[in-house]
Amino acid sequence: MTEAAIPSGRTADADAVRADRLRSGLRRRYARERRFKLYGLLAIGVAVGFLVLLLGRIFDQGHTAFYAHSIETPVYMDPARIDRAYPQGTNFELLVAEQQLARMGVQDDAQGARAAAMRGLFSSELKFLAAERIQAEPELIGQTVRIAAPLADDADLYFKGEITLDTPAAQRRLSDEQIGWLDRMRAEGMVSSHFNSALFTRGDSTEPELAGVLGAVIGSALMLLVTALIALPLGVGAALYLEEFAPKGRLTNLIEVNINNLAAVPSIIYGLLGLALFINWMHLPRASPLVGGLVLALMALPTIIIATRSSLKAVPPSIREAALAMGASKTQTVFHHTLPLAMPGVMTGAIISMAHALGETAPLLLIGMVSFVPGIPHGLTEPTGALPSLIYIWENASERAFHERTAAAIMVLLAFMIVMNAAAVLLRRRFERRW
Amino acid sequence: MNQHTVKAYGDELDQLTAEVARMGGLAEAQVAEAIESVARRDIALGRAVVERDAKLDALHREIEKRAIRLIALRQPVATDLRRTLGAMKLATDLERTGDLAKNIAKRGLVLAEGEPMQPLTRSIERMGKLVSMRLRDVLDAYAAGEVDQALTVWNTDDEVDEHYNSLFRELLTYMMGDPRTIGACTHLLFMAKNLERIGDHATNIAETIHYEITGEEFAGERPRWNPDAAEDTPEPPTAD
Amino acid sequence: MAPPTARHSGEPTAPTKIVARDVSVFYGEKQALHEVSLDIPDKTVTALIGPSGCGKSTFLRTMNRMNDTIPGCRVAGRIEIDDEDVNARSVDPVLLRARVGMVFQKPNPFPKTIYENVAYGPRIHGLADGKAELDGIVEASLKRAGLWDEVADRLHAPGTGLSGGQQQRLVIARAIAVEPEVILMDEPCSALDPIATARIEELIDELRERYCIVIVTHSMAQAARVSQRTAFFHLGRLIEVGDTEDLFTNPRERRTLDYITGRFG
Repeated sequence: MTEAAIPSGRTADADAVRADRLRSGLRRRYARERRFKLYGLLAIGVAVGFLVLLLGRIFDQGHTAFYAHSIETPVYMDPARIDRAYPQGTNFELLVAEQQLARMGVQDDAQGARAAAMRGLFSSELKFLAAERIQAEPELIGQTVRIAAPLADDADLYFKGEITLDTPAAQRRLSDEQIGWLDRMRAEGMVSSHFNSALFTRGDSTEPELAGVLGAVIGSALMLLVTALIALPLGVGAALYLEEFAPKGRLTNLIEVNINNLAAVPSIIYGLLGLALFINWMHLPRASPLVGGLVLALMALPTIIIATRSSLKAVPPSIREAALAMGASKTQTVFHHTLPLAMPGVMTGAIISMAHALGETAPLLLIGMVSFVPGIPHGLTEPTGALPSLIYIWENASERAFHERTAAAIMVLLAFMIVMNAAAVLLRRRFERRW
Repeated sequence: MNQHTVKAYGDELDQLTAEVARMGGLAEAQVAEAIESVARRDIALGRAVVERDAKLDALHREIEKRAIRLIALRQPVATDLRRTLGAMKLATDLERTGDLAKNIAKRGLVLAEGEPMQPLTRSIERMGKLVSMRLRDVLDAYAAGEVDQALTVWNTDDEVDEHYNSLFRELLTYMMGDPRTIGACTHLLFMAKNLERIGDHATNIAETIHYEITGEEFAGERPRWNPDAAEDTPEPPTAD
Repeated sequence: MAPPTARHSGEPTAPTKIVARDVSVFYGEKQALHEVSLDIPDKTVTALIGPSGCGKSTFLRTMNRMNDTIPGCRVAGRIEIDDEDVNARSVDPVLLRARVGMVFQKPNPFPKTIYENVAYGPRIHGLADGKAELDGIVEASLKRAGLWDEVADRLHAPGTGLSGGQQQRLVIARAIAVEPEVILMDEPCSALDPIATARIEELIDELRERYCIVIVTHSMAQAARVSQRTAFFHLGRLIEVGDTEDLFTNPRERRTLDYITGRFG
């Protein structure tokens, strides 16, 4: 009677062999699991590392943009130089520069180079502020008025430590003399540092100290509004039709394949389409939020359709059957039951595709949003900028001060996207709880 | 017939039927030996019959237990249900038959102490043989699942009645003739009654077999021996 | 060789509610149901039994035209409820389903409040004028389904928060809220524990006084407990139909006998 010959009996030896096999197999399995977990952690570590690197660099570069330096100068409204009838014609810049030089006891040279150098330390905003003041209160002519205005971008950079005496004078944007003046002005308490509200309250400008993202933000917001108004109803409606009402067949499959492919088309192609269709053929205004919104809507449409369809597919058929068996018509079933249940997925898809569209640059460049647009847009048909294109423009600008502002604009854009994604997550969680 | 998908169920049903068959064989033997012990005034045989009745009772309890278990655990339907119920009914009939046989043997023991009463005991023997044969036939029909055979037995219930009535008159005559025989004749009368009731039980068993196999209740009047309407009694098909 | 005809036995005592004649159902090329003819009496529970894939659920779904929702499904033959062919062009399936309610195997209350679940049917069919009447309908339906006492204080809690047995009773309340004439049940207790099952069976017993009930079940014991008429299906054909008591004590067809005594396969 050998052990092997007994089919159903279990001898002690066979049991021991089996237990050994199980144990050694178990060790290997656990080792594999540990290795796998390690790989996972490494992958996450690398990803997080890159993220930290990216965000860190942007923050490092951009945080200085959030504060700026201003100077408060007493301005003597010299009646000899201000024309009562046309006060804003006065060359306030020169006036202030000369007065400042005089106050510091510095002699100007014959060409007026020092006055020009001093003038370069003040922002051009100063003259507008002074002109406004004098226009509003003409009785101030002959008196000394204290006016606070931002410093010019280079002066601001000096105070932020970006421009230092370490670099040789020839490569520096500020001369030693100018730096000396700045130190003196600071020592006299004329210079103050404050939150750079200009960044958020003003539109784009060639002067960095006066440049802000508001125009671009509103432009982006208007574009998103147009995108949402067009892409959401169209996308959800198309997905509903394809999923619930269209007869299953070759035509529907063909449409589905094409929509899936459209989602992968490079965004610049949409820009070309927008250029050819909306601008050249339909003659819609170039660089307007209308055209931008239309192009982004076309881009977002496939994603919304796909996300909506998969949410609809995920609704359990038992709910549909229950509704139909109650005597609900197809439309009632879809709108009373299927769509509300698919809502979390639909909303997430919509918001994520909106967030995606917000950050697209290539199509915007093709429809003309690459040029400098000052001011705040008021309507859908005026040319505007958008955040991504603003970042592109600022990055290519020559002024040094735009470096930090580019990074700040990137942070604004990222903040926008985080808010939108967070909204998507919150909305999804809120709707999911109910169901 | 197909096998039960759950083999154990089919086995349990078969075991139940086998127990009933065994009980039937034992009851049949009890009746035959009781009659024999009376005819031959065999005291040892009579005592053996009396003692063996306990076995029949035990079998009856066993069959009931099995049947209850089957119903509780298997919830039988249709043929299986009828088979289970049939087994219970048969067991009851056979247990009563056994008791009646025991009673006959007991009375036989008493008779054996007295004077032999040949002609009367021979009548009892004849009736006993008929009853015994009918019992055997009906149990064969059960084992074979033969409805027709059971119906044959069912139809000859009146023969037993005929024997009983003639025995009754014979005993009365004997008792009236010689009062000293009243004691013995009374025993013989009871024996005859017992045999008649064994005959009824055989007829019961035939009805149960019919229900079990066809699923239909028996809708007939049992044939009764009616001396005044001799032409009306159905002719029994030839039994032997 | 002509297909064997089904064995019909016993005379139902109630008037006939549903008449099926030569009903065949095709899923594409495959024929799932072969010329089934069956009479279903009113105010009675009729059970459809048979092994998996025998077509009993398919037959059930022909009675409220739920097979229409399956692409590629074709129904042939006549099905008449109160002498009206349900497949006629003039019959709107939406209205038909207000007369013929359905309860499914897995309880599927809508992810709404308990009140909204029961009120949905009357609402979409316009059966209630105003909130007071709707409240009345909801209360009556929940009472008739034996659920009122347990949920009266939380009508606005989600229906999906109830236990399995309660959900199934909610679904029944939802079905009867539109006052159907027929209630179809497709294995209503297979997802429930024995106590919940018993309560549903008790409910079915009460409901049959008002409605014609057809129940598909794969538990023969349940069919035996709950129904007055039983129909046995096999491989898409009706084999035998009769009074439940007769079918379970003395079936006439060999296949029926084999199935109910567990001698199949």
